[in-house]
Amino acid sequence: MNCRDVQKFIYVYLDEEFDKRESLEFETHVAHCAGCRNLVRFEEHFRVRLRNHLRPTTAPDSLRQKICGALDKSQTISEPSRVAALPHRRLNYRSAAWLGGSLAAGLLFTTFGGWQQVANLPESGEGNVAILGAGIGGGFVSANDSFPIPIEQTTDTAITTHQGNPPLDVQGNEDTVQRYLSSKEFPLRPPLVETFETRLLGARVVQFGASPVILYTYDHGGRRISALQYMAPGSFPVDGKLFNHGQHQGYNLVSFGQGESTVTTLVSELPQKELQRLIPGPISR
Amino acid sequence: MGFSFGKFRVGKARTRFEEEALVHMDAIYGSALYLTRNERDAEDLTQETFLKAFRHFDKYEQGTNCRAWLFRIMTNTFLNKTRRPVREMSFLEEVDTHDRDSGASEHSAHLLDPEAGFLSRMFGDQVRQALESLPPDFRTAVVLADLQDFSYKEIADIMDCPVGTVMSRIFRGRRLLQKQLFDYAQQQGVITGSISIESQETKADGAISLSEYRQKKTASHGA
Ligand SMILES: [Zn+2]
Repeated sequence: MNCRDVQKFIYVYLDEEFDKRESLEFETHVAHCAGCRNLVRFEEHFRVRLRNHLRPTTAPDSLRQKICGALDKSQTISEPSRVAALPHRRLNYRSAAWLGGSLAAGLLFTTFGGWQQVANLPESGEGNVAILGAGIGGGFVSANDSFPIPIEQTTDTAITTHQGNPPLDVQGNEDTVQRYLSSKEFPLRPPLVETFETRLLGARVVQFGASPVILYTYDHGGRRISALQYMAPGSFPVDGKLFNHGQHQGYNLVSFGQGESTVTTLVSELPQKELQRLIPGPISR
Repeated sequence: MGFSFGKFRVGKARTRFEEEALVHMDAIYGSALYLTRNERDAEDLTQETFLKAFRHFDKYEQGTNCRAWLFRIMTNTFLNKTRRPVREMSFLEEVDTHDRDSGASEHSAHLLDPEAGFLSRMFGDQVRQALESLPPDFRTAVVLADLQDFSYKEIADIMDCPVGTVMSRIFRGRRLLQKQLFDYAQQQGVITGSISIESQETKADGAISLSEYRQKKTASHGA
């Protein structure tokens, strides 16, 4: 170790991040070098004073109460899956009634224009993002799937719905919406985190083929976001995955998995990056 | 597939959350205060952190470091709001830019003030002011290290970056603090020396790489 290394790694040493041998090398050099000794003495002193001045604070009681109040209203989902009830709502996949409904809904919602683009999206550089490739897509529409909506098809559904801006079944914040959905046997949790700039306006149950999709409408800094929440097709794990749709017809779309089996598609005029930032994802890697 | 919103279950999660997460509220708020630089935003950030944490409490693995997990949520929330949305910069670009902007020197302030007169005149509000003037990434790294005493590895997990990046941020963060505090002291006439930091030789190379050092070490041992 030379003077330059000592300069460079001084904090690594002082923060005790060196291993034993490295510390020894560091100390050996310093023992024989007056200049480095002065530096170490100074930095040690500085570090101690800095730490002494960064005093811990106590959170105000009013804040504690506010947070506890908000937690009382918020429902935690600690057990298996927050959407496990959805499959019960599913109609018989092969029944004639379903086919009829599906065709009608298909006319309204479904075109398959979104397919190719999804598969060819440029990869995001982030490690925690998985782009759904065409390979997985093949498994989507098997008759055994509990929820026969290919994620790709939702591109058009999402855009049509967002453009149509249909009246909401229920208006209000997360609690109101969640209560409403529970009463309709959807024990679901709204997909985005409400903050002072992102507010939930309400929700609507939309039928997509045989399957219910929940449309949530959010306001984000004055701009509208539609969030369509539905069961992931098939049994591959979706949690923490990002299915990046990119831009379509002037809107930005992004889908992400949550819990064991829900996927949410966001559509808005917001820039893609901003949209992605709303995904409650710091914890999903 | 059963599903239950049974009171028992919800109540249990809430109790667990209180015991494991809410006990860290002072730490989160205290750090949020340094990050956001004002009480209102610190309260908002604290509240947002705990609400997010509660909603995702099912993803938290019991018995792991809940404090670090909460800081990860808080740091991400804060940095996502603070980082310039214009264009993602790679780490090296980021360091370069900060260096150019801030004049961060590789040299310790003890060269400027060998008597270290300013150290004995470091006051709490000046330290706070200096810390608040740091770029968000550096500020966060210093707060996590010097206020919260997290290890480099923990900070890397919290900030979602390599350990080498943490080293650089702490290094440059602390050196920037020294420069700021030195300037304050000079303004107040505590230090009369006329050496300005600009006249000092500035850094020759970029990020701090311990692994590079270790590799070099191994190579020279092998030779
Ligand atoms: Zn030396």
